[in-house]
Amino acid sequence: MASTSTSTLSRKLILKSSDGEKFEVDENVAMQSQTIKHMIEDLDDINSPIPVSIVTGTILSKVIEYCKKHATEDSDSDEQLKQWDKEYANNMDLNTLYYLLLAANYMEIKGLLELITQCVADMIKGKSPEEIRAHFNIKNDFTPQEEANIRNENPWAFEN
Amino acid sequence: MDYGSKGGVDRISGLPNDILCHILSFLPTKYAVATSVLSTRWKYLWSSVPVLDIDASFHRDFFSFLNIYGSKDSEISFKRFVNRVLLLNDTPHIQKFRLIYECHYTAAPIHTWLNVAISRHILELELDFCLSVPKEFMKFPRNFFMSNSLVVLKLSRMPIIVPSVVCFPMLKVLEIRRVLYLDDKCTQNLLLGCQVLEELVIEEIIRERPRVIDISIPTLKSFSFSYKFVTDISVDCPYKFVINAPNLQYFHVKGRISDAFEVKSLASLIDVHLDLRETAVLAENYNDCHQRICNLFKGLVNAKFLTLSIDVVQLLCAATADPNLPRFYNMNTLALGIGLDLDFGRERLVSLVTEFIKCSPDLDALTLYNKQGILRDVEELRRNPPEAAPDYLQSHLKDILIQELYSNFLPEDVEYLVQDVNVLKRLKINCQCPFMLKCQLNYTAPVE
Repeated sequence: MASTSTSTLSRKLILKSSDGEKFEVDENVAMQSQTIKHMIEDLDDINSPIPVSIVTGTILSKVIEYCKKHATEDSDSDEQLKQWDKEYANNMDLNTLYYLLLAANYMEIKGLLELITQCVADMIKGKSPEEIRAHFNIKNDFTPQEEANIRNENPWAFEN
Repeated sequence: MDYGSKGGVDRISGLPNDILCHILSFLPTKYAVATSVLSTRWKYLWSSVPVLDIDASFHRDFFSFLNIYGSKDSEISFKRFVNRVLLLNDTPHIQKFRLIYECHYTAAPIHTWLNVAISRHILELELDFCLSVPKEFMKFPRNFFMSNSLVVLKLSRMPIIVPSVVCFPMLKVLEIRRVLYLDDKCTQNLLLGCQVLEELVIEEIIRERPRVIDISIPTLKSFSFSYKFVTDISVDCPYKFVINAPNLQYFHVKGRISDAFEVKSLASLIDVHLDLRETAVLAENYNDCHQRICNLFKGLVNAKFLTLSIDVVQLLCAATADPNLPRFYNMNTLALGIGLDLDFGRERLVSLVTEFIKCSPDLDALTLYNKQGILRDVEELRRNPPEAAPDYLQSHLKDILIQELYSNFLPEDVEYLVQDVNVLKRLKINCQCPFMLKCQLNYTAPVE
């Protein structure tokens, strides 16, 4: 059954997460995801749930929180929105950040992707390799000799 | 919360390459390259990052602080780094290349670096050589000035020769700051080749010869010109600006009152900032300058916001001729610089301010500012307040901000201005002079 609604703004969509959780959202909120936008264009029936296959309900609810805030940007100044973004990202633990990154990448939400990548980049910036490994649980699989060779190839990068 | 605690899972290394490279693109290249040592997963990621942001000041600070190597060695080490990241970078498109660099001892292969950048369809290029590169070292590749990918170009503190034919068909933002032009036509040649430009910033260091700067770019939205004022400079050297920019909204010139402006079109103008100084301008030329400024006003009638420097206001007051202001139909906010050493009476200044209010039927806010903030003997200058109340102030004026109330604009002048302004909602007066505070309060209380 094709939608007969003439008002595109008030249309509701149902997003379904990988673990079966359903979220009803305004179309303009969901349309911030290029992936969903393209899916809707191909769908005849927008009343059936749209599967967001690799994103869990917990993460999807956070993605929707972001999209809702940015769908109604007129109410806030750029400054306020930036502040909101900052607090939003700061409230996430590392695990959530990884899954949000994957979700923003898969759903093609440019603003969210920029926000989270910048946030992770800030965690790397100014840290020594040892500190970065500790922060992200990265296991050093180089032999001491291999590691020394890499440092010698780009000595300028390791001065600080 | 699992915050990377001991024994936690390494999730970041499991992210796809393009996401990791995206993360690294937010870092200065130095830090991005340093991640190569984290683990085998990270070893070559940096070479696929499309943004190169290299600032040699990291380098300088390190060596000047520890003083381990001579500067020549550090220069070589830095150049090796730039060579490596440029030559090993395997992205088909370099989005951005930013290089801040001093090279005093040896020639840098700038030519090669720029060649690589141009051949990778670079979008954004920002170079700052801190005035350290002698002109024989500075060679742009032949095809540089014909780049059909560059969108943003920022060149600072370097010698520059521009060929007679320039073509940047995509360039939207051009900033040329404190470059040493090796011939007079450089700016002109450059601008002729930028026909879709939207933002232009020109910052000059020396002013030895009169020049013509022709801004005839239909797409231009923002133009800012300035030069470094040297106080002991004694020779006047007027510039001529020819402006044909029907889409220009933001127009900011820091120049001299002797500069000439030929406005052909400024139809979309919104924000104008005329920061013209009288440095080295001979007093006998003031009448000419006055004439030029008044002519310029005729080209600025569409402005919504207008800011005039102290020296421009002085010039308008000092001249014997009537400023003959045009009608500023859209003017919403006016800011006038009020200087201290007026050779003429306060009455001239007050009459200029009222003249502006008369000519601006839509004026909402008037600001009188003074950056120097020096106060002279106020009492002595407080005589003879103007008597007649103005009858034209039935305007929109809602907001008067007087940032520095002092000798040349006294409380009674303010009172004179606001007496009949029924719509005035806010009068704010800031003053650094405590003994005048009392008189201020007397005048601010009734209108607030």
